[in-house]
Amino acid sequence: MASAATCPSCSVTLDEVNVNTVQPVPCPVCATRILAQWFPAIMRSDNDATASRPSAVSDAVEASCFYHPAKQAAIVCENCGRFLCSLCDIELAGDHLCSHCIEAGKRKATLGHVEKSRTLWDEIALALSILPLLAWPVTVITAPATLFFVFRHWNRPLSIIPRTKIRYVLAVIFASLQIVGWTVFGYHLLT
Amino acid sequence: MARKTHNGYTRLAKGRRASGLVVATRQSLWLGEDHLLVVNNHGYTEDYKRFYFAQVQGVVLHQTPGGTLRMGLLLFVLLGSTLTLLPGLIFGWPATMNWVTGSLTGICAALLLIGQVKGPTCSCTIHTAVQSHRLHALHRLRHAVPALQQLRECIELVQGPLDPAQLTQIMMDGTPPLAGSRTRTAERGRKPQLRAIKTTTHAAVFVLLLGDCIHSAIRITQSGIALLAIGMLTGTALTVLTVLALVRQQNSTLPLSVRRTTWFAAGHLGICQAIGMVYAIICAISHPETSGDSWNRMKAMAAIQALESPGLMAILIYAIIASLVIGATGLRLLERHRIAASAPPPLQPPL
Repeated sequence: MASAATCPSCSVTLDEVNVNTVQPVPCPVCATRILAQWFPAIMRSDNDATASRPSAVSDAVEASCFYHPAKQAAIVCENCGRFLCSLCDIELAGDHLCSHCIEAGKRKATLGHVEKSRTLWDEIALALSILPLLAWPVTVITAPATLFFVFRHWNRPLSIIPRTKIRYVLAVIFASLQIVGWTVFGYHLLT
Repeated sequence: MARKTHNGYTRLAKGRRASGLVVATRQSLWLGEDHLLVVNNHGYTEDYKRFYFAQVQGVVLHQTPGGTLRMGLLLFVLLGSTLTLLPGLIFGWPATMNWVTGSLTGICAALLLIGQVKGPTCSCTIHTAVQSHRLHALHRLRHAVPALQQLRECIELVQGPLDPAQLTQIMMDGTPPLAGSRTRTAERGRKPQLRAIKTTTHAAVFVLLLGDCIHSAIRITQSGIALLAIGMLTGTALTVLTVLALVRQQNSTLPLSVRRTTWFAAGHLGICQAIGMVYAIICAISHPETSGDSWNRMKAMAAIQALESPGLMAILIYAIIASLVIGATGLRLLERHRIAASAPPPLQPPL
């Protein structure tokens, strides 16, 4: 991947006038339209990271890090209250947490900010109610299974981004219609 | 336009990208309070990636030729199918053939219209200190530029704007390497050594294409083994010269338009070769008596009258249009390049 200051198409180094423009500007060599936006974070060097290295405990009464007893404590975990050095301190959405709490949060799904993936149960329910129609006799099993699946997962969280429960509702409607159809079919068969 | 939501996220963009034969991954971008959320929807699961505004170093967007190439290809097919449909209607060719070409024309026209409305394609990458990530959702320039402006506002609220003096200093000190480019920036970031080349090979390609156009036009009314042989020789010469031109134009000072036209010529030749092979197979099937006898098969192919064969007519019409458009465009662009190259350099201001 090319640097922000080079043309992604021909790799020619861009001029100052080609960076942080409002509209895309053509590359001086290949004429590809480019919009390169730089932000002050690009000025941060590795020295900034080394500045926050934990310092050693100099006095016996000085608080030390829970995980690194030889290092000076810099902050307290806002979840469990353990003392942390600057190395163990993890800032997440304004909160300072230790790695143990983050791991526990991930496991119990209580930390939305570290969640990496979710299963879309509503999509599965909708597929379970529609796709078996291609081999319709199996709907005698899948239709009740869909209803069970919907009621089983109704209260589970959907997506992180806004999402309604319309797929669950549609799945219930389709499954109910299939059950009604099978009931009518069975009634006619018996009478 | 972004849509306000109650969930703490504002939608920035939504897009679609194919990631397999069966499942298509949809990607969408959402603005959170302090981060950009990239959501990849795989159908039954979603995965999330967060880019915190405080950590974003840069966002780079550039226009890609994908959309233009698709439009060009569609235009070729549209012209070809239209010009096949017209003689089909005039000479009363089979109705099935007219239905097929008519449907093709309609589909191409609709796709062209949609492509025109959507605008040119682009590629967008976000850089942080440790990674670079392609934002597939921003794949149309029309939507990507406003979305990027919105993202820029959010990032500048956290980081503040980059001072022009800082920008100048970065440029003077040399561009700092961005994420994911630490190893490759050194080799790719260098300005490639561009060299001036003679345009004789390119000119020969475009002139031969015009010659091929004339040959195809004659083939509509005439037939014979000599014409077939000339066509085969022209095709071989064109293939060799096009490959040579493509090799020579690497890292050259030739304008991008000429280089792209040469690539179009290569694409056209590839299509012609494929069509020719299919046509030869059809001829071999329809003339089983020529099996194992190449000379007789060639004679059988050469004897086919274009006015009696809708398939051959369609191929010839396509060849005429494509060769004429690419050849004439290429020669005109080359001429313009020659004039620009021979112009005297601008006068230097007195010291």
